[in-house]
Amino acid sequence: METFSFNATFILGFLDELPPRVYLAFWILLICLALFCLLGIFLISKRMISNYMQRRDRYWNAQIVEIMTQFMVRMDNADPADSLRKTVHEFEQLPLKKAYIKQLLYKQVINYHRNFTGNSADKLRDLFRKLKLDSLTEHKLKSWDSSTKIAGILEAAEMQLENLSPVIERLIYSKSSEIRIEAQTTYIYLNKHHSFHFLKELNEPILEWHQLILLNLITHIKLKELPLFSTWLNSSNSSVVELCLKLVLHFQQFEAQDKLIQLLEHPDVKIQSLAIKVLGEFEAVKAEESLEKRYALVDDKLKVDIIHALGRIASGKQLNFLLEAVNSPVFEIAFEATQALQNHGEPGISELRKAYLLAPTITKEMIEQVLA
Amino acid sequence: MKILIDYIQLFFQEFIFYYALAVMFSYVIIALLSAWEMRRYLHKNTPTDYRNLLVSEFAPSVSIIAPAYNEEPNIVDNVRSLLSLHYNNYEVVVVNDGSKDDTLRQLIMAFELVKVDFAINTRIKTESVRGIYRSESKALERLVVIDKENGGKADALNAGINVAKNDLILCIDADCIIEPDAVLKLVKPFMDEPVRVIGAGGVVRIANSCEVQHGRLVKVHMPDNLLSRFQVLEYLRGFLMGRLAWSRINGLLIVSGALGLFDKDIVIKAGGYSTKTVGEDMELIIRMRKYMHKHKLPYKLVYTPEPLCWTEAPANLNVLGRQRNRWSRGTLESLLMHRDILFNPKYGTLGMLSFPYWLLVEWLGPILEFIGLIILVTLVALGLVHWTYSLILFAMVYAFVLVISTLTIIYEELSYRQYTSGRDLIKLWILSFLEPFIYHPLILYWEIKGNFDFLTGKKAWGKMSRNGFR
Repeated sequence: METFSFNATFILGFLDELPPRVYLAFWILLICLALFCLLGIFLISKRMISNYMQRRDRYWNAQIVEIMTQFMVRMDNADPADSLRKTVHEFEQLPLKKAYIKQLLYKQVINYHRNFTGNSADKLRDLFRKLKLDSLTEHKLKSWDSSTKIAGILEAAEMQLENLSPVIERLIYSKSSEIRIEAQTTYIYLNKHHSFHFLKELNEPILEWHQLILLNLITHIKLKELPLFSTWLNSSNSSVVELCLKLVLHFQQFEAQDKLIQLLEHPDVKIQSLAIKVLGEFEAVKAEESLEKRYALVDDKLKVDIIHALGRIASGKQLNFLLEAVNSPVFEIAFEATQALQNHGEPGISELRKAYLLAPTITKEMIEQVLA
Repeated sequence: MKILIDYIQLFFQEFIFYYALAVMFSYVIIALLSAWEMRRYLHKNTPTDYRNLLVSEFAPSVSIIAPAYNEEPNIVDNVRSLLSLHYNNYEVVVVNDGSKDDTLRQLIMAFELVKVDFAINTRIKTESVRGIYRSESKALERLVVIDKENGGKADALNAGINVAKNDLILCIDADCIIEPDAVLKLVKPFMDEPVRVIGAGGVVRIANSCEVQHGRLVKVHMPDNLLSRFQVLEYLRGFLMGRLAWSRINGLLIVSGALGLFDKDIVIKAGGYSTKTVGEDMELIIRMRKYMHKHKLPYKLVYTPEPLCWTEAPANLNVLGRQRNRWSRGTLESLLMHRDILFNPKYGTLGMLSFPYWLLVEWLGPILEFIGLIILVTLVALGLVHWTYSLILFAMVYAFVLVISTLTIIYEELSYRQYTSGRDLIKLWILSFLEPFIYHPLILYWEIKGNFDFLTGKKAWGKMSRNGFR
């Protein structure tokens, strides 16, 4: 006790003698040392716990995989209902009350499902439901943590849990863009009929990345009824228009041509550019005149798009217009016009050959490159 | 003399002490910001299925520009690895920057190249182009090789930009190993931000002692060489902590020259890479940002914390010294060329935070440290040092450095955990104890020498010899 009070007096005396700056430094030093020790303990324990969990999971995963393998083998040979019952029974022998083992089982079934199609995938879905693992998905969908929610949405899509569709529908308008996009794609995936109504009500922008995901999904699943995407080309949400333009192009919905021509005057340059592209890809001869009229009013980037589209349409009516563009002082316009003329086949190539004789060096180089 | 010493002591007691505290405080803020950004990134991208981008016809088009100078031994492997990246809509533009060895011949032979007619849109002036080569094989139609007069890395990149036909350009070092999905991961930010993204960088890691097969990294190891090992810790701190934090507040001032994806339109409008500085990567970023501010265009520069590029770190003192000397000169050149930004509110975060930080911490820090060391030695010689107080001050800084380094290792452990062996983790941690005594003084010396060389007008890059991958 005496030693302690002596030490305390000594330390307090020492601290009292320190100038203010050194006193401050001393306290920062103590804080840093304490923090360093805590971080060190965290670092080492994190690695040790993770190694332990890996070992533990490896053991239980091996057991789960064994039962799953037997299930897959049995499925082809025995009565499916009997096989399912047996497998469920075998899984029930595992201590599934322990949350981590149930989680491992949940992950394994989903993982197997990801790697199988057809009848095997159907059976895995049955197993998933019989083991009541869909309750875990539902629980995830109701979680306050957005990462868990997203994982739940993705898993619901993977296991085609149509019964969770109403829960997912509520997430379509979520404030979090990540949740929103996953909910939209999953909702379309689970409801292959009348699943696009949300496009009408959507006020939040669909970012380019999200458009890409939606596009990939919509163009790869078998929709029960393909809507006319031009319906939403009048939307006040530019990103919805953008997405629908891409869909119109993919599904070759030619009936949208008139609306596309109207979009050439849309206030958003990105949409103008996309509309020009789609008209070009549709080889829309009736849009040629409108495209030529717009040419004088737009910036160089759109001019290049218009020339590209005229090159795709290649009706032969725009040869003189394109020939003029070949002499443009803007490299990109001139080069695109050269290519557009080449796309016209013999009439365009012969015009290019004539132009070559009088052209300046850079234009000659372009024509040489294009005709090579 | 006594008065002078008193003043010096007062200067150190007052100014330097509070300067050090301010720097330490800035590191704490940086550590917090990077943790925030890392969490946000992982949350946003963990469920991402990049196959969406791989198969989409609407994926942005990318031109990969790889300048090569005397790269004969590795060029074919490196180009093969670039041609097999996981992305669909891209071309590879290799620029032979007047190599004195057989780089071009190797490329011609390996890829069946022939000289072709090509109209070059010279939007950025470069040394003259001797020819453009393309492959006769249909399978290699995405490869373009430019043969030009030597003009340095910046000039080679500019030549590549003139020839590149796509909207995004990925500028890389030809001697780096790019992860197969690097393009996918760098392109994504260009599509999922509500404002225009003008550039994106990824984490560069040290590949020394790692196993490499056919231009691909197959196994990560801690370098055998102590100098390279220190650089592992340094790179982790710089990328996982520094750049990520600046990315969080859109204050990035540099995207590594080894790997950077840019909006070609803005690069050209900003004037391309400058050939007047040895820090062309930093200088371009500053100029691109200035352009966006000048035209009042909202924009973002982003950093991906994923390890996307592996580089061979200098493994001997001479080469490392030359590299750091060049980096210091490059930083100083860029800061001086754009000094009008400093504390200029017109440039927002760039003018009020990033630029002052680079000047007052990154550039001024080593200089003050060096002066401090000289004064310390003088005071010791004159017997004017209070050892107890000095020890407390040194211990404070040392303990703080340990905290920051340990935090960096934790970030790595919680995110991408490249060093899976427990032994590597311990090695890395032990390094953080040694770094302030062994590695830091060396870096300090080269930084001071770099500043001195700048003042004496040295402009050279310095020869960068490498041992090659294992």
